[in-house]
Amino acid sequence: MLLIHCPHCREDREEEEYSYSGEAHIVRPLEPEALSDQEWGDYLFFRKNPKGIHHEMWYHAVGCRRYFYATRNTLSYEILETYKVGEQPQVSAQGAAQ
Amino acid sequence: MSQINRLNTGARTDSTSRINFTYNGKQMQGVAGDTLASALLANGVNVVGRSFKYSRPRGIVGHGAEEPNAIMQIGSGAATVPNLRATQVELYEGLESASVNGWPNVNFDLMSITGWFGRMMPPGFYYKTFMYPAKLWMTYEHFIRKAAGLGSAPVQDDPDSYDKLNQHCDVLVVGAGPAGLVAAREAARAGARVIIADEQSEFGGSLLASINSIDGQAATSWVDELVAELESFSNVQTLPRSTAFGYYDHNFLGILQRRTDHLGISADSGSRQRLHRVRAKRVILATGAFERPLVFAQNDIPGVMQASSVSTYINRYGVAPGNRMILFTTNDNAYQTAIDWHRAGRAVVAVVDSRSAPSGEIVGSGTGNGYSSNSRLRSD
Amino acid sequence: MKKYSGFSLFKNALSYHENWQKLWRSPKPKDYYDVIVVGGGGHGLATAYYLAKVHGITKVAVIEKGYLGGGNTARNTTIIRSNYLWDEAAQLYELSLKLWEGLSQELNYNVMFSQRGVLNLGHNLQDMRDIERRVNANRLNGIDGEVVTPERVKEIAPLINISKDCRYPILGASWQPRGGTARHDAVAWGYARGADALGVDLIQETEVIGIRRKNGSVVGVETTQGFIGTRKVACVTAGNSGVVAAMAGLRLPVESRPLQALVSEPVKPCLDTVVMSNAVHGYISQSDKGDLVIGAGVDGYNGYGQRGSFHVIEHTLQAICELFPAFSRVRMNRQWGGVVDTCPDACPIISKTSVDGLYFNCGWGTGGFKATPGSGYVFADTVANDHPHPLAAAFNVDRFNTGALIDEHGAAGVAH
Repeated sequence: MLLIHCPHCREDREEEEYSYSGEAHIVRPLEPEALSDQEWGDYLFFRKNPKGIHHEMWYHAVGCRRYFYATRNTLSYEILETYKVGEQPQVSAQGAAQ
Repeated sequence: MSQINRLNTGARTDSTSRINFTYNGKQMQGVAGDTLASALLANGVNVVGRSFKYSRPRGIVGHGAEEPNAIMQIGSGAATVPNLRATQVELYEGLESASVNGWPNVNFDLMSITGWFGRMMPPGFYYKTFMYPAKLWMTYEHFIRKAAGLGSAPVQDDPDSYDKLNQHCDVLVVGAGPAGLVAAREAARAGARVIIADEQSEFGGSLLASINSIDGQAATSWVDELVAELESFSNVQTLPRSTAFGYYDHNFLGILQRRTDHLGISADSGSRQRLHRVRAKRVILATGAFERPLVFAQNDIPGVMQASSVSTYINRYGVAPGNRMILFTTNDNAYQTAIDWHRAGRAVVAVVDSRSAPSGEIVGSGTGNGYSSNSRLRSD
Repeated sequence: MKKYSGFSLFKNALSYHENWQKLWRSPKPKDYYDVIVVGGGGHGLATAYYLAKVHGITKVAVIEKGYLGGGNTARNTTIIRSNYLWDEAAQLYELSLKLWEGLSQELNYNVMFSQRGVLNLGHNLQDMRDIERRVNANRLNGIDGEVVTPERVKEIAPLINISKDCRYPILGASWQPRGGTARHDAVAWGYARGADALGVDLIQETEVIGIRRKNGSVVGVETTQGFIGTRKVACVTAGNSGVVAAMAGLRLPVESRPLQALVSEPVKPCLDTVVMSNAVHGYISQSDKGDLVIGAGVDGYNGYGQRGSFHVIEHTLQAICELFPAFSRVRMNRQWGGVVDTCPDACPIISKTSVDGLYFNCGWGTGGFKATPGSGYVFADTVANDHPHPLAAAFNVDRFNTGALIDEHGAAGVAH
């Protein structure tokens, strides 16, 4: 039962207020028709699935109804930061490992 | 049947009151403050159940959540509840209880003939047999299922309603024994919003059965004063009869409060039970400890009971669960039970200590209390 | 291997059960194996068993980081059925169901496969249209199944609520009489004992920490007990598949999520079948011991913690109490979570990879237990021949790039 800080509302709110939207920072191909099947399949279906630090997108569904990003440890479930779309994470797997 | 084992020493029972209940159809009486287990022991009931596999007779061993044997079906009809431990069921007028195993009854169980074949049924025997012919497994399974299970689920719709509360606090204290009570008081005095929950009917934990004193005051009255102080704070919420059942991520805890189960099998009005969904800033676990049972052959026969439970029945409930006692221990603590037993006017036959030379303060005080040190036997 | 029977029980009773043969040896790892199976759950052990039994490849090791059957094999709700919508999935699960039907005798170990039938409930008109389509598809594939009325549902599960004035009324169900449950531990132990008897080394408490490759081919695995050589590595590591794939520089289209289940205290028999409902999000059966075994949903986010969020089981129990209003007075005893690897199309991956000699069997998501025998059978064949078994071909990992997905979300739901 996560307690998640919404960077827009600036409040800690219950997990049930949010919905999960998967891996963060995925860039949609500008010209899908120019991609090979391999590249298009990778874009659609292949996601990072790390055991540890993960950057992911959340939606504050019953709050401000805006998207944001979180850096979360998928083993301990500790949330290391949340930040707005357009911003970059301060914590990374490489940084945490050092 | 009368309350042959009732004493007037119970700190938390009123031995002048009378509460009528039934056990396996028999009319019995207990007193205010009893659990079903203490009332059954007061009435001299020794066998309360049968073991799962061999149907061996079983008696009450503990006095709380740790009780493995006294599993009861409470009430009847739509509101019946299976598998409640008699040690956790508060007595109320008209309570109906029944042991869950044993046919035709718990004292004479035809299923115990399986005990004669016990050597054919080692752990996991079912993996090694019932395979041929393959078609017969569903028939075998039918009979295995019938022999298994404890109580019966109701077959009518639940007449009661249930509700839930979302709660937030600075400090959640789980367990209202001496450690939890003092922690809650200190947090409350510092101005924190406090919730304190305990599964028992009243706060105090192990002190409810203690004859010791704290700060020159009887332990039970020390508890009463502290609880009264806690209840005077507007920033404290006290939850007796409330079991914390899960500790989830980011300090989320689930607590089940039994609001009406001590009054009757079904709630007259409002919800029967309430789920508290608590998000706490800090959590203090002050859940105490269980006595670790000793392992020896035949330790499951009726009449074998934990030392701390014997003391609890005498001191808290005013019930001596028997007449003559052999105390088997590995530590000093249990000697208090021999003292309590002697005070209750019962005979201590022997004290068996696994240590060669026990010498604690409480061990010495036993001399002159009805047993002598030379009745100690070494278990090796 | 000494056979189990009523007679062997009697004989061993005479010597106070002190002379039973151990179920399996605890061997030291050898320097080299023909095949190394990574993961000692049901699927991995079945793979090793069929490699030895069907293909005669006995120089096989199963390497398990914990103990045998201690992962999702020990954590699932043991539902077995084969009523999937698409031909590829239906035929794979049906092969499995047929193997289940003779498994206790095949392994000489009673896995308590109980064909008590499975109901999949429909609560709205679209549910019922889907159920009818699926049952028709099943029957064309030779799989038993029928669409039943609410009254028939009530006959099969008398405590169920079929009144029309509840939030999710039951409009009907699909009914697969050959479906049921099995004893999960026994499946792992039975396959382990069978594989060991055929010469397979079962190596527990040893973790694979690397996959050594040379010129694009597997040459062995690094483990916590040192390097072990092999030319074929078969990975069957469920929720940790993504982690193991990364050791070989591969990515898989799976995401790991905790899935929860819980059981009640044991009660006398009161539910003689398996009841599943995707719409209200719960599934329930009663174990032979008497526990009500209840499956819940997956957490909404990726996670490797073997635990889940409280609101998920709260939601499931609300659904169960609406389906069975009498059960709200039965108390829950234990709850737990297991980490499942979910695929975008709710179907598994049984596949060769771009690394020569590296094979993956994963992505079973929330419903792999029922497939244990069939999964092991076709994966062993794929590994032995370095060529997909006909029933495994469609489950190639390439389908996520070709687009030939097998969408089983309807038949799988949460209660896959």
